[in-house]
Amino acid sequence: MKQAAVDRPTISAWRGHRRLVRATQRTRYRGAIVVGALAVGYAFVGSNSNLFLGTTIFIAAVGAIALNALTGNLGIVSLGQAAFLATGAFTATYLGGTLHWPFLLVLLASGVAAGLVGGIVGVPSLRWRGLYIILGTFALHYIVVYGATKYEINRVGPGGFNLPPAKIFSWTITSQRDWYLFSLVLVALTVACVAKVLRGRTGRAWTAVRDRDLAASITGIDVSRAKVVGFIATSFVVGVAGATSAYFVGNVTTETFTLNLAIQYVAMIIIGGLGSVPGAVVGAAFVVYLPHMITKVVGLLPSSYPLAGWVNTNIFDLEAGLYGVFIILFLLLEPGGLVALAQRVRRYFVSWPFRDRGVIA
Amino acid sequence: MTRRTPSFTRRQAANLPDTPPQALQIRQLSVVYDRSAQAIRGVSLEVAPGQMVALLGANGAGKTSVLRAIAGFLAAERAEVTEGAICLGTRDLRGKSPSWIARNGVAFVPERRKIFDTLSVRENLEVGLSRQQAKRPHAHEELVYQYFPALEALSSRRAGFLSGGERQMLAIGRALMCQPQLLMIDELSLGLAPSVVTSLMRTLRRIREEQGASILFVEQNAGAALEVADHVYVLENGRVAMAGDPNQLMDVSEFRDVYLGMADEGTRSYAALIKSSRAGSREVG
Repeated sequence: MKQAAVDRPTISAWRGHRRLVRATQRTRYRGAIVVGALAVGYAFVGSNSNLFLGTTIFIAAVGAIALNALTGNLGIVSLGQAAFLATGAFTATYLGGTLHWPFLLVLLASGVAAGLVGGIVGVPSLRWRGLYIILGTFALHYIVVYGATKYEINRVGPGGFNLPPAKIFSWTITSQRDWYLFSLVLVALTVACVAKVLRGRTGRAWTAVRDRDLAASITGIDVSRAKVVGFIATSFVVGVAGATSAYFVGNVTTETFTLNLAIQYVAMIIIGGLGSVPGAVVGAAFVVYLPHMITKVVGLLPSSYPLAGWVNTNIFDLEAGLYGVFIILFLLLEPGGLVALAQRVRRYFVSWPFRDRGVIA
Repeated sequence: MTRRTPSFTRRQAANLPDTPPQALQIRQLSVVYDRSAQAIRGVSLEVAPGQMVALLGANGAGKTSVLRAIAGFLAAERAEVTEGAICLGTRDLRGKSPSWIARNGVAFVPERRKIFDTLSVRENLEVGLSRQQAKRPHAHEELVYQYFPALEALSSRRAGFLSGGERQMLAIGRALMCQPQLLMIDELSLGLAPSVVTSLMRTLRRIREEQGASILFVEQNAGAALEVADHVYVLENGRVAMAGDPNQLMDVSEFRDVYLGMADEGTRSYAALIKSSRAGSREVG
């Protein structure tokens, strides 16, 4: 009896906390359902070109979510994204194109192959920190691209590999709408799984390792294991994204997997918001949509505008430069990315007109 | 203010068998930093089950190195144990990883960089729980809140916003979550107000009495340490210079003069001279 009397305040506080957590979860689930329903609905009204763009964004988002978990949550900055994507894509060309394995099995196997490469980089990375890990993944990029180029030239020449249409049982994914829906399911699965992992014990351990790895080790967290598992798991997801992208485009060539691509993914997670799953999706959408946005803006300019011709001929350089500008702007002005910006705007309206009464929590 | 009395021990809370606490034994321990500077030479000490032991000494005497050697924390500091044995009961701790040592009953609260700023107080407490323990986190948290009620009100706050005293409470609380047989605290009072230190020391005594954990702590404030410790080791220049219970040490005039500053005007400069001369060269020859 005494125990119950003594414990009541804490237990009720705990229950209060659980209630709050459940309420937050419910809001999140509702938000996710609304966004998901809108995205599914769009599949039936969107034009082919927009569905194509949507598919590209979703596949990029899968890769960005994984990179964000590695960089934003575990604290390992990686320039090896293109290498992991290439590993997934080239595994798909062999298993799907040459051995004719079923599509879903190819996706899984490509993920495993990229995970293995991730494990190989993860082990030496235990001895590196910060800049050295970036350089290590940078080296990985060149090793993988070199190997892939040799393989491509020996097998098929510079045209690259062609892949058969993706087929799940009797459903052949051919139309833009099919691809849009498939990639939407893939990104939804990735969001659900990664968010679940990051909110749980593993996510806490990763954040602890990112914040202070020595302090993490004395709480009983095996820092080496966390880092290697982090590399393997995130590389797996990136490999799946690479293989999906290979099937979607239908052709794989090493020219796609440039260092610029790796930097674009870094831009996605910085612009979207480091350590945030929705941030990775928003960042992917922003970076993929940026070239289209530039084209549209340029289209709106009058043809007599003095720079219009220059912009049209240098559109790719402009695009690369703008990624840099956005990365710098976000790092300087809003390191939390678009997600933090949205939260700031929301907080402004929630507390309006009682400004400057922010709650620290 | 009425104090909440823990109604059950953490082992009961976690459904764990009540394993008797083990003694920590260190024999002839030597630690070398960067293969060139010897921080500790031939230190032997013992912490009996349920005992509260203080490590005193001047800056650079080797106190922190002893704790780091026990916690397996030396490799990250480019240091290594070159000789000696460290045992908790029958388990050999030498050469083991910090996470293994933490999972085997030794909790270490380092001097700095001990909490995770971006996690909430609650998440900080839960971060080290095993898969089994994570199923019932509130049972473990409840124990921490019994000793540090202030943390309960702050449980949703980001740890980066805590004050120095709150951070120290959180770090000790998190160490308790690991169910330690031995709790080690480096520089308990560093940067804290005297009233906070007194309250923390009292809480540590309660933890020792109610939970049966042994406590080994490093303290610069010799007077405060003597009030709570059962046994005291004084390190000088990497060696144990004096040891005994507080009463015994109070009888040693050199200890009183050098560490409690009780020397009169004439001998004070002499005491300071002794203290500084003992921080001599420690190059490995």
